[in-house]
Amino acid sequence: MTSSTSSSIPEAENSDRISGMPDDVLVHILSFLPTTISAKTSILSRRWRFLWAYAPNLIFKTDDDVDSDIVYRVMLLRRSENINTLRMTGCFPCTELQFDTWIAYAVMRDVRNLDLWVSGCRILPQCLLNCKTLVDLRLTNCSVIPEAGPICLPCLKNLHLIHARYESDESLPHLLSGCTMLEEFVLMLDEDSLSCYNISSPTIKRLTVHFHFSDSTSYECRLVIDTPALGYLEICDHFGKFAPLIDAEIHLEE
Amino acid sequence: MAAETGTPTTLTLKSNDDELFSVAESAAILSVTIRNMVEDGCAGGVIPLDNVDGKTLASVITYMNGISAIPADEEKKKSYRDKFLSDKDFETLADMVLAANYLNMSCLMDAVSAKIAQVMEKKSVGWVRRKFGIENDYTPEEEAAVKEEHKWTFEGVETDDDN
Repeated sequence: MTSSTSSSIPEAENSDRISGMPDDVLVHILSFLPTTISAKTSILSRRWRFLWAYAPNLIFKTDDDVDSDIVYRVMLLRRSENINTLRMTGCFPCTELQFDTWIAYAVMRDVRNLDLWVSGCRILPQCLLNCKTLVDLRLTNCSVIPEAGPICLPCLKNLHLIHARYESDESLPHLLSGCTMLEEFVLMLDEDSLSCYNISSPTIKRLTVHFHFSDSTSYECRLVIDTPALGYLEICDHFGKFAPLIDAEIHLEE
Repeated sequence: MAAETGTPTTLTLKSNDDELFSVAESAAILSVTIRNMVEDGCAGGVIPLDNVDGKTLASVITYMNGISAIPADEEKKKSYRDKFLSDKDFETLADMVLAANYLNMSCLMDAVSAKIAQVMEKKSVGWVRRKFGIENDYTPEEEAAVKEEHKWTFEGVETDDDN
């Protein structure tokens, strides 16, 4: 096959329509690509040179060979005012300062969706716990939930805490008390665990709790669920051979 | 379609190549563009959709009917969207993203855009230029400069193979 000289394009019938796609449609498509891949499209033509920089999403995966310098470079080069989604996956390498800086950057730009799986495990910064625009928050392996301090997440509807750490039994009720619009809560628990998980919320409609405890037999915990708006409940024990269910009371009214 | 009291309202949509389609109003108003016309009382006769051809509109209506028949279950809706788009080629996807943009259907727009991005992700610069009808108007010097500026993204990328 020849290289891409473009004057006689075989798909000519479509090409007018496709090459005439408005910039906002192209930017929308680019916003679904990992950010380093969408940045590559700057090589396509003059028109495409800066399109990627308007994508509202920042998506970084460790398997793209991305390091933290590239994250800073992208944050400097991008031209979109706001961030719709910041996603870092695959145990993305970062220091505590980077973690705080990137989250502050996203919160200042009215981030709506935050999906973080980065290296290390840190107390969540105040700016994140008081982000007025956050709708969807997913934290994997990287967060410590504080037991005190202001929490106000007035738009948060979906919360996924995957193998988080908790300062104390009070951490979870404290966090949920600041999520006044929460509808979906996914909680995955592993070893470093508490004596009681208290899930209390007047707004949660969907609740999923997964236990990933290994076979240490000495562990015992209580799960208390007080969610009057609940319509869907899933509880799953991935190592069911231990953790016998000692006591379960389920009241379903109406 | 769930049986409502009374007869469900049907709308007639007209493509830009003059094909007519009947569709239940409850499905058609997934398009904010159509919903606005209905709310403004402009939907009495035939609704002309000047930016969508018949082939694409037929496909969009299949989607409207399919997705609106699924009750509020995001997982099921997502798997319907994945299946609906799985056999579409690039040109069809491009037509659909333009139609979804014109019809202001955010769920279809997102799904098709994500699918196009997924297709693009593994392709060469040459492939993307051809499929999007992009003429490389950089001078060799400019192209080298852009590459230099973005060298953090270009390591190991072939710019003119065909896959």
